[in-house]
Amino acid sequence: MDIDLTLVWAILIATSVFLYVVMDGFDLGVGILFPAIREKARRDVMVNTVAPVWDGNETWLILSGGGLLAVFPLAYATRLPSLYIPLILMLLALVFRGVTFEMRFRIISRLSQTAWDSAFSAGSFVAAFCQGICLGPRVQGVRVEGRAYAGGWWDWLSPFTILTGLALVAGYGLLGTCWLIWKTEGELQIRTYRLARAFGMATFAAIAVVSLAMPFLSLTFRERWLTWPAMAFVAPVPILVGLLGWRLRNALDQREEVMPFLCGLGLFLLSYVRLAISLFPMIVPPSVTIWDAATHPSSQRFLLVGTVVLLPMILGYTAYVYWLFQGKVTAGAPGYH
Amino acid sequence: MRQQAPALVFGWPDAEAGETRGAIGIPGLASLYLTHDLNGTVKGLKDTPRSTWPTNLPLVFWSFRIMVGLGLLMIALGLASLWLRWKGRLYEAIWFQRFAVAMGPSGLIAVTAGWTVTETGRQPFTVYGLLRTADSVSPVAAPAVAASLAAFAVVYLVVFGAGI
Repeated sequence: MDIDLTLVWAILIATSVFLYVVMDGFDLGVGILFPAIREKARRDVMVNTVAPVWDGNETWLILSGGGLLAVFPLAYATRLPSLYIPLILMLLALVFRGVTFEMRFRIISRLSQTAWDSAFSAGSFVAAFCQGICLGPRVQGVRVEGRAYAGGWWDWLSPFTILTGLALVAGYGLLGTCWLIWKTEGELQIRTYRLARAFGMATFAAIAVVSLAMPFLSLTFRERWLTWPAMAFVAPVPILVGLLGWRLRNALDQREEVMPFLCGLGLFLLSYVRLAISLFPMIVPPSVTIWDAATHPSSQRFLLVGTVVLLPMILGYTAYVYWLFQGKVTAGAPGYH
Repeated sequence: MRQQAPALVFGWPDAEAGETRGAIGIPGLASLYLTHDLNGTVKGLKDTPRSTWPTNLPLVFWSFRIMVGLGLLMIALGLASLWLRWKGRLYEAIWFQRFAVAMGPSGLIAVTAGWTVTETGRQPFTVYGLLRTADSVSPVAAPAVAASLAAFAVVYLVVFGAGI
């Protein structure tokens, strides 16, 4: 049987991007919530819930970027220049945010406390917003001529990309609140239940507006959503999203602890798979397919061998860390730091 | 093309004249370390077309020698410390301690010089013989690249400064 290596790689990288989005999503979300929860002790607990896992979560960003460069060089060479400014901003924001994990627990003055807390929350917000902006051109298309990006360096900026940026901030905020509901208790948990409701409503509103805008911005989307067999998956999505929303509201009302996070993951999965199906097989819409962008088959085979060894290791240590740090994080308890 | 090529320790490469002025070399050493044979043939810059010559010969020439020279000094430092330890004078020999202090920054300098060798020495190619630097430039506008470089410098200074 012939295996379509390119398809295997596209699924691998898409999976890696999805894992990045939901995993770094909830820990960026915790930073996005900082302005709503101001007491130092509570913020310490919030940071401690993600401190052991956040950098592992970002492994998937490296794997996605590295995989794209190695296996789909044409996509890497056209998509990254088109998103140069938001991607650089995202990296700088992640630098500030990452350093904060080490700094917050070693500071003495109130001023530096405020400064690093701001770095954490602003870094999380900017990183999330920039990642959302990167979704925009997936719908609106990227100008490619020959084998090079042919647009300007401000092409990424449009009302739609601002909208997708804010949508992802809302979505990450929802994941962050749901994560905190799972990992905390007492007063902080009660506060995050309330916040989860607000971020949930914002997320559903954002999904609705982005979904309505999509068919007007892209011919591919319009065609996909109205033709068989893509329609078979895309059409039920609004109903499934509605069901998840109803389940999420119930879970928040009933003070369930794990279900809200699962609902959040479900929302991201539905939105992501719908985007993937609407785009497939385009990797740089509107013209470049995964097969156009792929590297030589021998390189794909070679890289797959390395990945088959590495991927189980990454999954293994990730599972181990989550297992090791399971359970509630309490105030004042010896944390990860 | 040259047999028994010397390894030049000093000199000033002059691209226009096509020679290294004031060269002092160790005879045959370049042949030995490049071909593992004292009589081995070593290709020189003059064996490649002039259009592919780097425009910054003294920079490549000297950063390579700084790198190798510092490396040899590091080995000398290590051997001297072993010798002194064997003789039981490691904690008394003042000259050795001055030498060790003076070598403090050598690692950073050697790494920077080595990086300069690779980055300037491979010009005008990104991939030797296949892809020229001018052809491998990304479509990102120059102001965007300059701004991002400046932003990274500022962010690193801030973060590094705060960490001290």
